[in-house]
Amino acid sequence: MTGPDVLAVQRREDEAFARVEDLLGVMLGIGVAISTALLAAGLGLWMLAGPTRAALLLLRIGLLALMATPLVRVLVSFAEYLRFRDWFFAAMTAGVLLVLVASVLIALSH
Amino acid sequence: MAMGVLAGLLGALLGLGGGVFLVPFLVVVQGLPFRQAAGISLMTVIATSSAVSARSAGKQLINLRLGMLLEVGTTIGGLFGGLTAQALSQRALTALFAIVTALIALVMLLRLDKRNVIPDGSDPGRLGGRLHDPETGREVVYRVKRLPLALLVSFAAGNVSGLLGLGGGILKVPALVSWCGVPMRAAAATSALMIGVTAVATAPIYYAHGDIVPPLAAAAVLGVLAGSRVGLRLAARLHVRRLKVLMIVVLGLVSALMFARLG
Repeated sequence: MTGPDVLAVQRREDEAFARVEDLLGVMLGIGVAISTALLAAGLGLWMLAGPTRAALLLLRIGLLALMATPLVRVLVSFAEYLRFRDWFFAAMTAGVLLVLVASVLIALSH
Repeated sequence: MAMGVLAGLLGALLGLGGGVFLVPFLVVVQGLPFRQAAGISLMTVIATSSAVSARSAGKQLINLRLGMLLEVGTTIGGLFGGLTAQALSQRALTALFAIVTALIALVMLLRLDKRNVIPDGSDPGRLGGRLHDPETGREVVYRVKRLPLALLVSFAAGNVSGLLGLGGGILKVPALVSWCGVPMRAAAATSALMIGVTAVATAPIYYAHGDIVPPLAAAAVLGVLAGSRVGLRLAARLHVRRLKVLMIVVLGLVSALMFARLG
Protein backbone atom coordinates (compact mmCIF):
# COMPACT_ATOMS: atom_id res chain seq x y z
CA MET A 1 0.00 0.00 0.00
CA THR A 2 3.01 2.34 0.22
CA GLY A 3 4.45 1.80 -3.24
CA PRO A 4 5.42 4.86 -5.26
CA ASP A 5 2.27 4.57 -7.42
CA VAL A 6 -0.02 4.67 -4.46
CA LEU A 7 1.82 7.66 -2.97
CA ALA A 8 1.75 9.54 -6.26
CA VAL A 9 -1.97 8.92 -6.64
CA GLN A 10 -2.47 9.99 -3.05
CA ARG A 11 -0.56 13.21 -3.49
CA ARG A 12 -2.55 14.10 -6.61
CA GLU A 13 -5.70 13.31 -4.70
CA ASP A 14 -4.47 15.48 -1.79
CA GLU A 15 -4.04 18.40 -4.12
CA ALA A 16 -7.44 17.91 -5.71
CA PHE A 17 -8.97 17.40 -2.32
CA ALA A 18 -7.53 20.64 -0.99
CA ARG A 19 -10.00 22.34 -3.32
CA VAL A 20 -12.77 20.06 -2.07
CA GLU A 21 -11.90 21.03 1.49
CA ASP A 22 -12.34 24.69 0.57
CA LEU A 23 -15.71 23.83 -0.95
CA LEU A 24 -16.75 21.89 2.15
CA GLY A 25 -15.72 24.86 4.32
CA VAL A 26 -17.81 27.27 2.25
CA MET A 27 -20.80 24.91 2.43
CA LEU A 28 -20.54 24.60 6.20
CA GLY A 29 -20.36 28.40 6.44
CA ILE A 30 -23.47 28.81 4.27
CA GLY A 31 -25.34 26.20 6.35
CA VAL A 32 -24.50 28.04 9.57
CA ALA A 33 -25.46 31.40 8.04
CA ILE A 34 -28.84 30.14 6.79
CA SER A 35 -29.74 28.36 10.02
CA THR A 36 -28.66 31.21 12.32
CA ALA A 37 -30.64 33.70 10.22
CA LEU A 38 -33.75 31.49 10.47
CA LEU A 39 -33.24 30.90 14.21
CA ALA A 40 -32.67 34.62 14.88
CA ALA A 41 -35.79 35.57 12.89
CA GLY A 42 -37.87 32.90 14.62
CA LEU A 43 -36.64 33.84 18.07
CA GLY A 44 -37.20 37.56 17.40
CA LEU A 45 -40.75 36.89 16.23
CA TRP A 46 -41.35 34.63 19.24
CA MET A 47 -40.27 37.36 21.66
CA LEU A 48 -42.23 40.12 19.88
CA ALA A 49 -45.46 38.35 19.01
CA GLY A 50 -45.43 35.29 21.24
CA PRO A 51 -45.47 31.62 20.21
CA THR A 52 -47.11 32.07 16.81
CA ARG A 53 -47.15 29.38 14.17
CA ALA A 54 -44.87 31.45 11.96
CA ALA A 55 -42.27 31.80 14.72
CA LEU A 56 -42.36 28.08 15.48
CA LEU A 57 -42.07 27.24 11.78
CA LEU A 58 -39.01 29.47 11.36
CA LEU A 59 -37.38 27.92 14.45
CA ARG A 60 -38.12 24.36 13.30
CA ILE A 61 -36.75 24.96 9.78
CA GLY A 62 -33.71 26.67 11.31
CA LEU A 63 -33.01 23.65 13.54
CA LEU A 64 -33.49 21.21 10.66
CA ALA A 65 -31.18 23.30 8.43
CA LEU A 66 -28.57 23.19 11.18
CA MET A 67 -28.84 19.39 11.43
CA ALA A 68 -28.65 19.08 7.64
CA THR A 69 -25.41 21.09 7.41
CA PRO A 70 -22.91 18.36 8.46
CA LEU A 71 -25.01 15.77 6.61
CA VAL A 72 -24.61 17.64 3.32
CA ARG A 73 -20.86 17.86 4.03
CA VAL A 74 -20.65 14.04 4.29
CA LEU A 75 -22.81 13.62 1.18
CA VAL A 76 -20.54 15.86 -0.91
CA SER A 77 -17.42 14.10 0.44
CA PHE A 78 -18.92 10.74 -0.55
CA ALA A 79 -19.57 12.02 -4.08
CA GLU A 80 -16.01 13.38 -4.32
CA TYR A 81 -14.43 10.10 -3.17
CA LEU A 82 -16.52 8.29 -5.79
CA ARG A 83 -15.29 10.76 -8.40
CA PHE A 84 -11.68 10.08 -7.35
CA ARG A 85 -12.42 6.33 -7.41
CA ASP A 86 -11.14 6.05 -3.87
CA TRP A 87 -13.36 3.10 -2.97
CA PHE A 88 -12.15 2.70 0.59
CA PHE A 89 -13.06 6.23 1.63
CA ALA A 90 -16.21 6.17 -0.48
CA ALA A 91 -17.25 3.12 1.55
CA MET A 92 -16.36 4.85 4.85
CA THR A 93 -18.39 7.99 4.04
CA ALA A 94 -21.24 5.76 2.81
CA GLY A 95 -21.10 4.01 6.20
CA VAL A 96 -21.41 7.35 8.01
CA LEU A 97 -24.34 8.31 5.76
CA LEU A 98 -26.04 4.99 6.56
CA VAL A 99 -25.76 5.65 10.29
CA LEU A 100 -27.22 9.16 9.83
CA VAL A 101 -30.09 7.80 7.71
CA ALA A 102 -30.74 5.12 10.36
CA SER A 103 -30.93 7.83 13.01
CA VAL A 104 -33.43 9.87 10.96
CA LEU A 105 -35.53 6.75 10.25
CA ILE A 106 -35.58 5.80 13.95
CA ALA A 107 -36.60 9.39 14.75
CA LEU A 108 -39.36 9.37 12.13
CA SER A 109 -40.73 6.05 13.34
CA HIS A 110 -41.18 7.46 16.83
CA MET B 1 -29.20 33.25 25.55
CA ALA B 2 -26.85 34.83 28.10
CA MET B 3 -26.02 31.34 29.30
CA GLY B 4 -25.28 30.31 25.76
CA VAL B 5 -22.89 33.25 25.40
CA LEU B 6 -21.17 32.36 28.67
CA ALA B 7 -20.97 28.65 27.83
CA GLY B 8 -19.66 29.40 24.34
CA LEU B 9 -17.11 31.84 25.71
CA LEU B 10 -15.86 29.39 28.35
CA GLY B 11 -15.94 26.55 25.86
CA ALA B 12 -13.92 28.34 23.20
CA LEU B 13 -11.55 29.71 25.82
CA LEU B 14 -10.79 26.19 26.95
CA GLY B 15 -10.86 24.56 23.54
CA LEU B 16 -14.14 22.74 24.05
CA GLY B 17 -17.61 22.93 22.69
CA GLY B 18 -19.80 24.73 25.19
CA GLY B 19 -21.71 21.55 26.05
CA VAL B 20 -19.82 20.63 29.16
CA PHE B 21 -20.90 23.96 30.68
CA LEU B 22 -24.23 24.44 28.91
CA VAL B 23 -25.75 21.13 30.09
CA PRO B 24 -25.19 21.81 33.82
CA PHE B 25 -26.32 25.45 33.38
CA LEU B 26 -29.57 24.33 31.80
CA VAL B 27 -30.16 21.61 34.38
CA VAL B 28 -29.19 23.46 37.55
CA VAL B 29 -30.11 27.10 36.80
CA GLN B 30 -32.95 26.70 34.31
CA GLY B 31 -34.27 23.55 35.93
CA LEU B 32 -34.66 21.70 32.61
CA PRO B 33 -34.89 17.91 32.55
CA PHE B 34 -31.50 16.36 31.71
CA ARG B 35 -32.53 15.08 28.28
CA GLN B 36 -33.80 18.51 27.20
CA ALA B 37 -30.51 20.08 28.29
CA ALA B 38 -28.57 17.42 26.35
CA GLY B 39 -30.75 17.86 23.24
CA ILE B 40 -30.28 21.64 23.22
CA SER B 41 -26.56 21.19 23.82
CA LEU B 42 -26.31 18.84 20.80
CA MET B 43 -27.70 21.61 18.56
CA THR B 44 -25.00 23.99 19.83
CA VAL B 45 -22.38 21.29 19.15
CA ILE B 46 -23.52 21.09 15.51
CA ALA B 47 -23.40 24.88 15.22
CA THR B 48 -19.92 25.33 16.72
CA SER B 49 -18.53 22.38 14.77
CA SER B 50 -19.79 23.77 11.45
CA ALA B 51 -18.76 27.36 12.21
CA VAL B 52 -15.26 26.43 13.42
CA SER B 53 -14.66 24.00 10.53
CA ALA B 54 -15.85 26.57 8.00
CA ARG B 55 -13.10 28.87 9.29
CA SER B 56 -10.32 26.27 9.54
CA ALA B 57 -11.03 24.53 6.21
CA GLY B 58 -8.27 24.95 3.65
CA LYS B 59 -5.61 25.80 6.25
CA GLN B 60 -4.04 22.33 6.21
CA LEU B 61 -5.26 21.67 9.73
CA ILE B 62 -8.18 19.29 9.26
CA ASN B 63 -7.14 15.73 8.40
CA LEU B 64 -10.14 14.88 6.22
CA ARG B 65 -9.21 11.23 5.65
CA LEU B 66 -8.67 10.52 9.34
CA GLY B 67 -11.81 12.47 10.21
CA MET B 68 -14.01 10.60 7.75
CA LEU B 69 -12.66 7.27 8.98
CA LEU B 70 -13.09 8.01 12.69
CA GLU B 71 -16.57 9.42 12.03
CA VAL B 72 -17.70 5.86 11.37
CA GLY B 73 -16.85 5.18 15.03
CA THR B 74 -18.26 8.41 16.46
CA THR B 75 -21.58 8.24 14.60
CA ILE B 76 -22.25 4.59 15.53
CA GLY B 77 -21.33 5.47 19.12
CA GLY B 78 -23.58 8.53 18.96
CA LEU B 79 -26.56 6.57 17.65
CA PHE B 80 -26.22 3.99 20.44
CA GLY B 81 -25.71 6.74 23.01
CA GLY B 82 -28.82 8.58 21.85
CA LEU B 83 -30.95 5.44 22.04
CA THR B 84 -29.53 4.50 25.45
CA ALA B 85 -30.19 8.01 26.78
CA GLN B 86 -33.90 7.57 26.08
CA ALA B 87 -33.91 4.44 28.24
CA LEU B 88 -31.94 5.80 31.21
CA SER B 89 -33.39 7.76 34.13
CA GLN B 90 -32.59 11.44 34.81
CA ARG B 91 -30.71 10.34 37.88
CA ALA B 92 -28.54 7.87 35.99
CA LEU B 93 -27.72 10.46 33.31
CA THR B 94 -26.87 13.11 35.93
CA ALA B 95 -24.62 10.63 37.76
CA LEU B 96 -22.91 9.69 34.50
CA PHE B 97 -22.32 13.35 33.69
CA ALA B 98 -20.79 13.96 37.14
CA ILE B 99 -18.49 10.93 36.78
CA VAL B 100 -17.37 11.77 33.24
CA THR B 101 -16.56 15.41 34.08
CA ALA B 102 -14.66 14.33 37.23
CA LEU B 103 -12.62 11.83 35.18
CA ILE B 104 -11.80 14.42 32.53
CA ALA B 105 -10.67 16.88 35.22
CA LEU B 106 -8.46 14.18 36.74
CA VAL B 107 -6.86 13.26 33.42
CA MET B 108 -6.21 16.94 32.69
CA LEU B 109 -4.62 17.38 36.09
CA LEU B 110 -2.28 14.44 35.48
CA ARG B 111 -1.29 15.78 32.05
CA LEU B 112 -0.97 19.40 33.13
CA ASP B 113 2.72 19.77 32.38
CA LYS B 114 3.01 17.35 29.46
CA ARG B 115 4.05 18.94 26.19
CA ASN B 116 2.94 17.42 22.92
CA VAL B 117 5.92 16.19 20.99
CA ILE B 118 5.43 16.42 17.26
CA PRO B 119 6.97 13.32 15.72
CA ASP B 120 9.39 13.70 12.86
CA GLY B 121 8.85 11.53 9.81
CA SER B 122 8.89 11.82 6.06
CA ASP B 123 6.29 9.32 4.92
CA PRO B 124 2.85 10.22 6.24
CA GLY B 125 1.34 6.91 5.09
CA ARG B 126 -2.21 6.56 3.94
CA LEU B 127 -3.81 8.42 6.84
CA GLY B 128 -1.16 10.85 7.92
CA GLY B 129 -1.01 14.46 6.99
CA ARG B 130 1.02 17.57 6.53
CA LEU B 131 0.61 20.59 8.70
CA HIS B 132 2.10 24.03 8.62
CA ASP B 133 3.61 24.85 12.00
CA PRO B 134 3.43 28.63 12.57
CA GLU B 135 6.01 28.50 15.38
CA THR B 136 8.83 27.12 13.26
CA GLY B 137 7.41 28.17 9.89
CA ARG B 138 8.02 24.67 8.57
CA GLU B 139 5.80 21.94 7.24
CA VAL B 140 5.34 19.11 9.70
CA VAL B 141 4.62 15.60 8.47
CA TYR B 142 2.96 13.12 10.79
CA ARG B 143 1.85 9.52 10.62
CA VAL B 144 -1.21 8.14 12.34
CA LYS B 145 -0.44 5.31 14.76
CA ARG B 146 -2.68 2.79 16.54
CA LEU B 147 -5.70 3.29 14.30
CA PRO B 148 -7.87 0.59 15.99
CA LEU B 149 -7.38 2.41 19.30
CA ALA B 150 -8.35 5.71 17.69
CA LEU B 151 -11.52 4.07 16.34
CA LEU B 152 -12.37 2.62 19.75
CA VAL B 153 -11.89 5.99 21.44
CA SER B 154 -14.02 7.58 18.71
CA PHE B 155 -16.80 5.11 19.40
CA ALA B 156 -16.59 5.87 23.14
CA ALA B 157 -16.54 9.62 22.46
CA GLY B 158 -19.59 9.29 20.21
CA ASN B 159 -21.34 7.33 22.91
CA VAL B 160 -20.65 9.97 25.55
CA SER B 161 -21.78 12.63 23.08
CA GLY B 162 -25.09 10.89 22.43
CA LEU B 163 -25.73 10.11 26.10
CA LEU B 164 -24.79 13.44 27.64
CA GLY B 165 -25.13 15.99 24.83
CA LEU B 166 -21.44 16.83 24.68
CA GLY B 167 -19.19 17.03 21.64
CA GLY B 168 -16.81 14.31 22.75
CA GLY B 169 -13.71 16.19 21.62
CA ILE B 170 -12.48 16.17 25.17
CA LEU B 171 -11.97 12.41 24.88
CA LYS B 172 -10.73 12.22 21.28
CA VAL B 173 -8.22 15.07 21.23
CA PRO B 174 -6.02 13.85 24.12
CA ALA B 175 -6.15 10.28 22.75
CA LEU B 176 -5.20 11.30 19.21
CA VAL B 177 -2.36 13.47 20.51
CA SER B 178 -0.91 11.14 23.15
CA TRP B 179 -1.44 7.74 21.55
CA CYS B 180 -1.89 8.20 17.82
CA GLY B 181 0.84 10.65 16.86
CA VAL B 182 -1.44 13.44 15.64
CA PRO B 183 -0.19 16.99 16.36
CA MET B 184 -2.38 18.98 18.74
CA ARG B 185 -3.65 21.56 16.24
CA ALA B 186 -4.53 18.90 13.66
CA ALA B 187 -6.24 16.76 16.33
CA ALA B 188 -8.31 19.72 17.55
CA ALA B 189 -9.35 20.82 14.04
CA THR B 190 -10.20 17.26 12.95
CA SER B 191 -12.15 16.63 16.14
CA ALA B 192 -14.06 19.90 15.69
CA LEU B 193 -15.11 18.70 12.24
CA MET B 194 -16.19 15.29 13.57
CA ILE B 195 -18.34 16.42 16.51
CA GLY B 196 -20.93 18.03 14.21
CA VAL B 197 -21.69 14.87 12.29
CA THR B 198 -21.55 12.88 15.53
CA ALA B 199 -24.25 15.11 17.04
CA VAL B 200 -26.34 14.72 13.86
CA ALA B 201 -26.36 10.94 14.46
CA THR B 202 -28.13 11.63 17.77
CA ALA B 203 -30.01 14.93 17.47
CA PRO B 204 -32.91 13.57 15.32
CA ILE B 205 -33.74 11.08 18.10
CA TYR B 206 -33.84 13.84 20.74
CA TYR B 207 -35.83 16.04 18.34
CA ALA B 208 -38.42 13.30 17.70
CA HIS B 209 -38.86 12.81 21.46
CA GLY B 210 -39.58 16.53 21.86
CA ASP B 211 -36.39 17.10 23.85
CA ILE B 212 -35.18 19.96 21.65
CA VAL B 213 -37.40 22.90 22.64
CA PRO B 214 -37.16 25.23 19.60
CA PRO B 215 -36.95 28.72 21.22
CA LEU B 216 -34.53 27.57 23.93
CA ALA B 217 -32.38 25.74 21.39
CA ALA B 218 -32.34 28.82 19.13
CA ALA B 219 -31.27 31.08 21.99
CA ALA B 220 -28.56 28.63 23.04
CA VAL B 221 -27.22 28.22 19.49
CA LEU B 222 -27.05 31.98 18.87
CA GLY B 223 -25.49 32.54 22.29
CA VAL B 224 -22.85 29.84 21.93
CA LEU B 225 -21.88 31.03 18.44
CA ALA B 226 -21.44 34.61 19.71
CA GLY B 227 -19.65 33.50 22.86
CA SER B 228 -17.24 31.21 21.04
CA ARG B 229 -16.07 34.08 18.80
CA VAL B 230 -15.16 36.19 21.82
CA GLY B 231 -13.69 33.18 23.60
CA LEU B 232 -11.36 32.28 20.71
CA ARG B 233 -10.02 35.82 20.64
CA LEU B 234 -9.46 35.85 24.40
CA ALA B 235 -7.85 32.40 24.40
CA ALA B 236 -5.12 33.58 22.05
CA ARG B 237 -3.98 36.08 24.69
CA LEU B 238 -3.96 33.82 27.73
CA HIS B 239 -1.27 31.50 28.98
CA VAL B 240 -1.91 27.83 28.12
CA ARG B 241 -1.15 26.53 31.60
CA ARG B 242 -3.53 29.04 33.17
CA LEU B 243 -6.24 27.97 30.73
CA LYS B 244 -5.73 24.34 31.69
CA VAL B 245 -5.88 25.12 35.41
CA LEU B 246 -9.05 27.17 34.86
CA MET B 247 -10.55 24.27 32.95
CA ILE B 248 -9.73 21.74 35.70
CA VAL B 249 -11.28 24.01 38.34
CA VAL B 250 -14.44 24.60 36.27
CA LEU B 251 -14.81 20.92 35.43
CA GLY B 252 -14.39 20.00 39.10
CA LEU B 253 -17.09 22.52 40.05
CA VAL B 254 -19.43 21.24 37.34
CA SER B 255 -18.90 17.67 38.50
CA ALA B 256 -19.50 18.57 42.18
CA LEU B 257 -22.66 20.46 41.21
CA MET B 258 -24.04 17.44 39.37
CA PHE B 259 -23.09 15.08 42.21
CA ALA B 260 -24.87 17.43 44.63
CA ARG B 261 -28.08 17.07 42.63
CA LEU B 262 -28.02 13.33 43.25
CA GLY B 263 -28.00 13.69 47.04
